[in-house]
Amino acid sequence: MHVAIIEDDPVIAKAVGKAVREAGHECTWVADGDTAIRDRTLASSDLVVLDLMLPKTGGLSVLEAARSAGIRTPVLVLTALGTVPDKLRGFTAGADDYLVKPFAVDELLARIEAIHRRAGHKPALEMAAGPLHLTLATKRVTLSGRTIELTPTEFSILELLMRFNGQVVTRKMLCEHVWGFDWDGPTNVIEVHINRLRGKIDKDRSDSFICTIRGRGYALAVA
Amino acid sequence: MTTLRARLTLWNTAVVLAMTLASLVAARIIARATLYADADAELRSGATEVVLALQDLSPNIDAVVAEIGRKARSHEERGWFSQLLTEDGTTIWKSVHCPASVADYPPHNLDREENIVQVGPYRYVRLRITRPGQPTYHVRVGTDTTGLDERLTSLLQQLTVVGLALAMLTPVAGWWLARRATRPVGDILQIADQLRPTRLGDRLPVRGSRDELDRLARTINRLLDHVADHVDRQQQFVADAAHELRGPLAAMRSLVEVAVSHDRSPAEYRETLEEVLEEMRHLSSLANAMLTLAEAGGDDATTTCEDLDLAAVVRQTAAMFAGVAEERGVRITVDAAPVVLPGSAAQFRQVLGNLLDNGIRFTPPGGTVSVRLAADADRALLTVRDSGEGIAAGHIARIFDRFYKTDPARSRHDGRSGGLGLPICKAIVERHGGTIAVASGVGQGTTVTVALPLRAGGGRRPHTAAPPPLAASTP
Repeated sequence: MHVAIIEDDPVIAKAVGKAVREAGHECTWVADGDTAIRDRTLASSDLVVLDLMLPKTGGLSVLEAARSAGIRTPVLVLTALGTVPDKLRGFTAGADDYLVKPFAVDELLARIEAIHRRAGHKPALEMAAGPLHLTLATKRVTLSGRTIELTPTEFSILELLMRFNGQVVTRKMLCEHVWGFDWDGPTNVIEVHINRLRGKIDKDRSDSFICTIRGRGYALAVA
Repeated sequence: MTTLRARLTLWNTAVVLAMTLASLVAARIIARATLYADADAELRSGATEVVLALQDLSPNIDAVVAEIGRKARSHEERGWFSQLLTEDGTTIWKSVHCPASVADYPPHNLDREENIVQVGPYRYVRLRITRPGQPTYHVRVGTDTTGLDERLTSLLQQLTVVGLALAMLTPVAGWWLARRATRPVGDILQIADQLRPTRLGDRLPVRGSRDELDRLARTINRLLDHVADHVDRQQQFVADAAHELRGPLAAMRSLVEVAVSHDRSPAEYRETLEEVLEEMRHLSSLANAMLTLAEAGGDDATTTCEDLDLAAVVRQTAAMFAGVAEERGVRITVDAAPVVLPGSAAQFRQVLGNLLDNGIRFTPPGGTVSVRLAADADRALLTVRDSGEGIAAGHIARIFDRFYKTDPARSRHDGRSGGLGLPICKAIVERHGGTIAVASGVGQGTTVTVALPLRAGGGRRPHTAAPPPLAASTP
């Protein structure tokens, strides 16, 4: 996949570009809105990460111009403007997703994958990761063929971890996936469920399927 | 003519000039009427004298003429003239000084006892002399009124001089009066001009006169009080926020400084970076909390207000904390009656989340956190009650202060909202027109009560769901 980053902050552009390339995609960086319009960046990419506060032509104008020209490339808006009206404006202009700075690079990568998948094919109804097997329709999880009883919360968490097998999933992503909204308060409301999930799927193992990645989140590490 | 003072002076002068002019006209009318009334009365008494003298005389016309001639001589000394006429108006006799214009002036209204006539510069009174069985005569006694008009003109001239003098004094007096009246406004302007956001201590003088200007000064002073209070709180917030940000910044700095001071293994670097990441997450949370507070406390339309199913929010948020509570051995009970009110779901999730988070953290194992949502006719009552350690009375008053922590020794990581949880709740609840109160005592648990109006309009300002126009959206 070819990802374009339209972003005026070189530090963020460099970090995101590196992460995208390491995730196995091509990546180009465009530093302002005028260049993006002139080079027809949106038309020539598979996915665009777009900042809103750009020098010269703003991100929203770039997006609106592309959408009114019939270009349907998926666009993820990445901006410091985080109020509800800001987000609504972004979506109205034609954004497919909206992520507010400061953000976790892991979440950005996961969202890029998700948008790409949505744009391409439907999410898998069955997923496998090593001995783990998950069926969405029946809400069933088996470990080496044996059924494991999970609470809906635990099932939901495992589903997201399996979908991003090998990648970091942040607490925020998990919260939003499980309950529909994030909790950024003092208490880590995810951890307890992760621990219970580990208790159920790691029974006879010395190391867990689920790794805690300090400062970032959790990841399923199953070949 | 741009200043209030100049306009007041102009108006004052115009009004005084108009009044002076009106007075002069009135004085002329009154003086003229008075002078002529006096003259008429004198002429009438002279004529009456003649009539009385002639009434007693014999019908002999010569005797009558002789008598009126005698009277006329005494009248001449006063500048009067006389004329005797028959019943049909034919002149029988006239005094030497009788002007021709009067002598030839055709008599009229002879059937009346008396009439007064002005002929050019002359004026006369005509009286009828009636005697039983005798022919009727008329007598005219008149005078020249030129002198009268001259006196009137002279009087008016003097009055006009006085009037002109007044008119010239008026702008000066008007200027003085206007200056006196507008001086407090000038004071207000001068002081208001010196006000700066950094120096909001000055207040306008209130003279105690209870007039409009005093009320204006008082109103402006109250506004200044509010502004100063607001600025103070904002400054305090910025100072507190900077202080809070220094904690994680200092931690990161020392982590990185130690890491780069010697060569280390990749694993050690990795550990440092992970620790830095953890601190950064704390910084992000703090920034998000401060933004939420600014958003909830701000007056710009950043809140979308839909018809919110508050009971659903209560159940969802309680579900999120169910696992944590269970792990800690705390029971959560939810008793939520159906309540729908205008509000933002995201913001009320913040409120519920903060209250539940606090409740669970401060309740020992075996305790209960009960959430209850009920509604009466016009408001919803949300109570979150825990059986925890409670809060000392000294802390309750300050518990909604930003960055206030009941236990200063508590580390940054224990309470990642950094003392902003309850202030955020308060800002959100107040933005929705509600109130929030805490009741607690050491060892008695804590009850937080939120009261919310069921209908919009109870809030500080109307909420708008419509996003601003797209045209102005590009940052």
